[in-house]
Amino acid sequence: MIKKVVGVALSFGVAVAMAIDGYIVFFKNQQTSSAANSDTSKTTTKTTSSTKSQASSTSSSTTGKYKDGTYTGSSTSTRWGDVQVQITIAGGKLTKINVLNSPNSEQKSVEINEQALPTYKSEAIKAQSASIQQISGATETYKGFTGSLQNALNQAE
Amino acid sequence: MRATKYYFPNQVIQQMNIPFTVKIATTDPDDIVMTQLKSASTKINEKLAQIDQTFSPFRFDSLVSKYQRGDNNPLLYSSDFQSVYGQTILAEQMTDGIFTPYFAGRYDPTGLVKGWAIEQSFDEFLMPLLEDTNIDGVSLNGGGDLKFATKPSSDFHWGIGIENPHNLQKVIATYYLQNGAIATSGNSKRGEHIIRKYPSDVQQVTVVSDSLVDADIWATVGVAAGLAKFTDFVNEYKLSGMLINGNHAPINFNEGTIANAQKTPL
Repeated sequence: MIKKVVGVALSFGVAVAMAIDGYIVFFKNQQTSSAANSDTSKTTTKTTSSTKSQASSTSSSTTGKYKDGTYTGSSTSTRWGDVQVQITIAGGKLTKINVLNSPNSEQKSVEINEQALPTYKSEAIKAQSASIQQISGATETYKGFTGSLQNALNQAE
Repeated sequence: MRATKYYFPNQVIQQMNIPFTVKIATTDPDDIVMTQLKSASTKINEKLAQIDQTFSPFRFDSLVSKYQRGDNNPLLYSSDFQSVYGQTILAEQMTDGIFTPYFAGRYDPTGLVKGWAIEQSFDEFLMPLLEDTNIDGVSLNGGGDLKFATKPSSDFHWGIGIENPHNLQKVIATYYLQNGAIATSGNSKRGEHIIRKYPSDVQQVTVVSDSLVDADIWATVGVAAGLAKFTDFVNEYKLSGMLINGNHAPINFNEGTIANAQKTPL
């Protein structure tokens, strides 16, 4: 009986500890990382070069249905860091579009941990199909896909 | 020791007027592997169709068409549209305006959307396949621009042939890489959203990067910018890839510096 009570007490203690851990790991981290994000994006605000023409061309056709204020879209992670679009509405019209960019130092470096140097061989594709699986080429040459190198490779599997 | 034998089953999808090849590298193309390939291809097909619905300037109801007509809702309410918009504006700034999302005075992000669509589909539906013990590599090629990855524990390398612009039935070079993205642009003017303000005799540019959006934009810009201007970009943005100028031999660049190719006996 005492064993059981001790066992239950122990497992309860473990569960509480896990819950606290979970709170610290997920919730706390989220808080700090979101705070850090807003810091960086503030300092690196950029105004787009095309803002002016965009604002003037669209303002004439909006009908004042938007509430005034500044709206910031969700952040997307890109090759050039996090990107957010910020829109300013004044007098019911879109007056300004900002693109906020917070460059991430990690993302600046190219993450190819290999020498990106090609090997040169000019044999016909049949001789190479064992060692080549994909073809990179200009898109317009793909119009005739059935006669393309890529199609030949796909048939070879 | 015998080299591992790989099989490369694939599925071809037609979307955006381009053939997309979904291809995996597997040591054992059993039913489970083939089912996974087919199921991923189906989902990629749906995703590409949805992106085309959203971003095609040729569809009346696309968000791009709505935005062109002066409707600001896409910019206010669609996170996908915001993401693409933000990236096109950044790309324009980064490339000194050679890449532009403004085409005949209208906003048109087509030049960026294909690469972005491949990247989105790849991350969502192909990367998870690497969890399968029998799948060593995954790749998605959309009209000559591709993204590829290999299981961390595998020594498999994707062999990616670069088309010879002077003879489309031949490859001019081959990259052997595990993870990354490769895009190639030619000097045809079809659908390219670029401003030609530099003299250029560049026939073809291939860019290798970890991001396909990045590779695609730089390859496109390289053709328009010409050798001299593009060399500045190569240095500044630490680009990797190869460029074919006129009838000359390919020029390689690796992380920002012009490099010599590894010569192998023919």
